[in-house]
Amino acid sequence: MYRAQLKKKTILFIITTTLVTLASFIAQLVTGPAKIPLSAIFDVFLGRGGEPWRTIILDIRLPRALAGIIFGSLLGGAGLSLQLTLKNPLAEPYLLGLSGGATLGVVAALAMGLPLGYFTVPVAGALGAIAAVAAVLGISSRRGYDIYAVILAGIAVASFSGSLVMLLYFFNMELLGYGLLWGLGSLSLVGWKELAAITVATLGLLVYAFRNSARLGLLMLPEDQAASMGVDPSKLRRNTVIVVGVAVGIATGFTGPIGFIGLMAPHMARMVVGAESKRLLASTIPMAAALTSLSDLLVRNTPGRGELPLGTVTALLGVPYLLYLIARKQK
Amino acid sequence: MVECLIVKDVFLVLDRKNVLRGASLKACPGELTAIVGPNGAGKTSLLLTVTGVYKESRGEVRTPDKPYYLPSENPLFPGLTVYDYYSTVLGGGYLGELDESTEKRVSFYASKLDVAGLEDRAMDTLSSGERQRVMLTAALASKSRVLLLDEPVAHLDLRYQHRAMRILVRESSERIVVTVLHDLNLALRYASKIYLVFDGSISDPWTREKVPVNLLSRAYGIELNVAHLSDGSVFVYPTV
Repeated sequence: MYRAQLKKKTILFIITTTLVTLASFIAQLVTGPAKIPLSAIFDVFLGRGGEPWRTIILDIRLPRALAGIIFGSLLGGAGLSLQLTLKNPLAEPYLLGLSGGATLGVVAALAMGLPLGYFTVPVAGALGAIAAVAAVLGISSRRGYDIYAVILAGIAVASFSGSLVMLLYFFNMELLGYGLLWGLGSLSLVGWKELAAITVATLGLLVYAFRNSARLGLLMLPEDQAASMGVDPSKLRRNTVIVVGVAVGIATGFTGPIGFIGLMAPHMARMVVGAESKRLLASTIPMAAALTSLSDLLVRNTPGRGELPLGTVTALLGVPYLLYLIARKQK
Repeated sequence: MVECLIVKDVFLVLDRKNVLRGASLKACPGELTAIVGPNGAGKTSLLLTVTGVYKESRGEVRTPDKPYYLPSENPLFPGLTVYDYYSTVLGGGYLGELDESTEKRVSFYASKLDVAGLEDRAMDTLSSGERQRVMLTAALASKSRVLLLDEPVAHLDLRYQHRAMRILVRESSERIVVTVLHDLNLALRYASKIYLVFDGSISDPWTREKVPVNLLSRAYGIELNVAHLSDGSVFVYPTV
């Protein structure tokens, strides 16, 4: 009885969020500064369209629309994996100091006067993020990667890299503009090459998360019980932090940090389908894709001068959500 | 062939401390085995060694099946529902749903322990007694032939304590049940044999027929007395 109900609810949730994602994807292709009629979009996909619409659709809007969905899935899967391993529903990837590390990487590369080539900024950002995760793991390894050690190390690394960034800005004021802009997070610069890297990172994480979803679920139990069922909690936590850190780090290099999706999507899905890890993972991913795609649709179509940075908008949505979660917990 | 759980002369070292020093125990189907002992004596470490979480430095552990271990301290993921607790510990399908036979076993034990119909509730909104009965339900519903229970009735009221103990006695006729108990009198009443863990070593098994009252007094650091009532029940009580 309960089983059938739950299954129905879950499948309905997955279908709904997938349809919303699809609708948002189509809206991404249709909307934008250039007014392109729907018929012209069909023509482009059927190979009959002419310029400039062809370029706008295929090289600008399509990769970006896909990036919202793919990066969103990555953030959702990464957020849920971290929440399970840290037994904390408020955890999200940037808790690991990723965004601070990525920003440090970018600003440091610029300060060293590296040429602003196509891949300089993304590679520097990804390396910075991965270095931050390595630092978090290095610090928490002494305490067997226990939950609080990982969380506190993340906070320490984030603050430390934040101060270093400020110091670099202080000595190189001219970097303030570019570094700051990158740090706001946006999908506006994602083309096919960037999308390819983001997709590889996402696939890596999702394969890991799905393959380990049952084991990650056991981490919701007391550690001794999880261990008695054949899971090594410390090792699984370490591996998950590595996979999340590297995957989100790489993707973040191309976009700048986009926070709170990894916090909100698992939570919204959990409210509907419950917390069991396999069911929740399958529901979180379309939820996160929808959320990211819709947020990006919103920033691309806000009236006024230019578009808003996506990372700032997800934070503007995410912080009240976080406050709501904290307030609600104290009932 | 009856297979037993056998712990033979096990030594355990954790953080360079000798936690177990030559512990031996045998538990078979057909008898309820209780482990008692003061706080910090090594009772939980003994169970965790049997499950394989801790690796003994010497000695031997033989178990006929992968044990189901029910811990006494239970920080769970916030908001985990009762149903999802069941499906997490008992293993669910692709969407975390219990298979039909497991769901049947769960509802069988849940109704015996009066926790049927709580599936939708979050574990952290239950009372500690309800939560413990849900966890015990999951342990009983597991298909493991070896149940290792760490203080499974500590939060239950008198009625449920006795109901749970009777269920354990019945369950122990078909599989191996080893339970840590703090209440000596519950152990005396229901267990077929009792081991006292004290300072890393373990006593020979005893029963209500032969209560080692001096040893118990020494282990707990409090003077104890034994009372034999006319109805055959045996009680241990402090003299102070």
